[in-house]
Amino acid sequence: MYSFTRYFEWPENKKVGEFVIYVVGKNDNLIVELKTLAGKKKVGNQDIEIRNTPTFDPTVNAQIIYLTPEISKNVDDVFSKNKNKGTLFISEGAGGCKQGASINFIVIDNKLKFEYSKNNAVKTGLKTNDDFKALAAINID
Amino acid sequence: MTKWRNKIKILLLGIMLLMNVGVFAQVDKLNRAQHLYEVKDIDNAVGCIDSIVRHPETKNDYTLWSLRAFIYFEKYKRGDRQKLNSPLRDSVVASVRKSMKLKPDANYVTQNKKLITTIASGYYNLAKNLLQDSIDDVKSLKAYNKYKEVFLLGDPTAVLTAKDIEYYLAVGSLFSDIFINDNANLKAQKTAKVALLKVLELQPDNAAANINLGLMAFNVGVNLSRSMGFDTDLTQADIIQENVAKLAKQAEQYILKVYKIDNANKKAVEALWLTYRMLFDDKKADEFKQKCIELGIKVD
Repeated sequence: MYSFTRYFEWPENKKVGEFVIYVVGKNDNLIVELKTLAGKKKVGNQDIEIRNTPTFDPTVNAQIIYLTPEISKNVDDVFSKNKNKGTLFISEGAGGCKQGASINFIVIDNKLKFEYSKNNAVKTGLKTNDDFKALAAINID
Repeated sequence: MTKWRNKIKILLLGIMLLMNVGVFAQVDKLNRAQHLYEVKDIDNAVGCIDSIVRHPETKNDYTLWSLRAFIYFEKYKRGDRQKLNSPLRDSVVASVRKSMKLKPDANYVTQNKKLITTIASGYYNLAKNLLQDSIDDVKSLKAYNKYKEVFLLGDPTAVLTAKDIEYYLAVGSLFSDIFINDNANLKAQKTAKVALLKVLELQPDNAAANINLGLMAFNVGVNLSRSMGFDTDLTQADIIQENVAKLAKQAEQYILKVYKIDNANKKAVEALWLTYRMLFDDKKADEFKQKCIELGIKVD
């Protein structure tokens, strides 16, 4: 997830303050790892802050929103409430990008890969790097 | 003519007398060696028996070679038991070998076998000690091979497959534990793998060998996953994932063999749960997580 930040540029208003990675749903191990990351790394000059709630909270202003597989099953609501907010949406499960996520984790041949929708990323106000397309297992657009 | 005949007779009698004196001298020495052995004057017994067995008149007497074996065994017992290379032990074995070659009677065969079994057991204990106390697999294997060689001298038709499995499993288990606790110890990994594969060669369904090989592959995968830092680029991460998946598949192959034979084997069930997680196979991971819970295995 941290590696993804190299390939996107957030709008100016998101380049100030803390870089918030918001995890929606329960995944204790991921939270532990992300908190370790936050203690060691920055995105540009921004410190990383990890937020986590069991269900989606539209008031959280985040640069990345990751939806756990359980939450990814019903994501329409999340995307409709976050258009043009400069947020990179990451989901996990079948059809995530078709529902509005920019990146969606999928398992192919026992390996964790991702599908990518450049259009979805652009729609949320992110500037994208075309090199990223080559890294995706599937490009949706 | 009669004069010459008499001379020859006297000469022959002389030779026979001398020969008898020689034989009597050897018999006397044998009695002395036997006595020295009984009174535990082993150093002198060694000198005495060695001079008899070299003598052309007595060198083919199996009783002497057996006695020599017992005398040397007494000396070996006093200070060489823990030595991998002991000329005294070698002399015991060589003496028994020679005695057996000379076709001894049943009583001597029994005595020889008893002695050789004791020597073989000593080698086996030494192999175990070198493995468990000194963690020296190379010397341990030498001791184990000597055990087999000597044991087969006492019982040439013996089949040592069960002993081989026991020994190589001990080596494999010890070194796989070392490797699992210290993934950087590649020598331990290699030693364990060679030993466990040897077990599977002899007994393909051996549960412990399969589990240990599976857990080792799984641990290499875990270690490889952990080598990915936050800065690892996505192309590199892909290569690492490829290797992790291969290792997890290897682990699955070994552990499934055990599970198919015994579906309540706790180690196998837990290892399969973790392996399927590593393979991102949620369905199977959940299935084995449930089995873990049913078997009372903690899954937190």
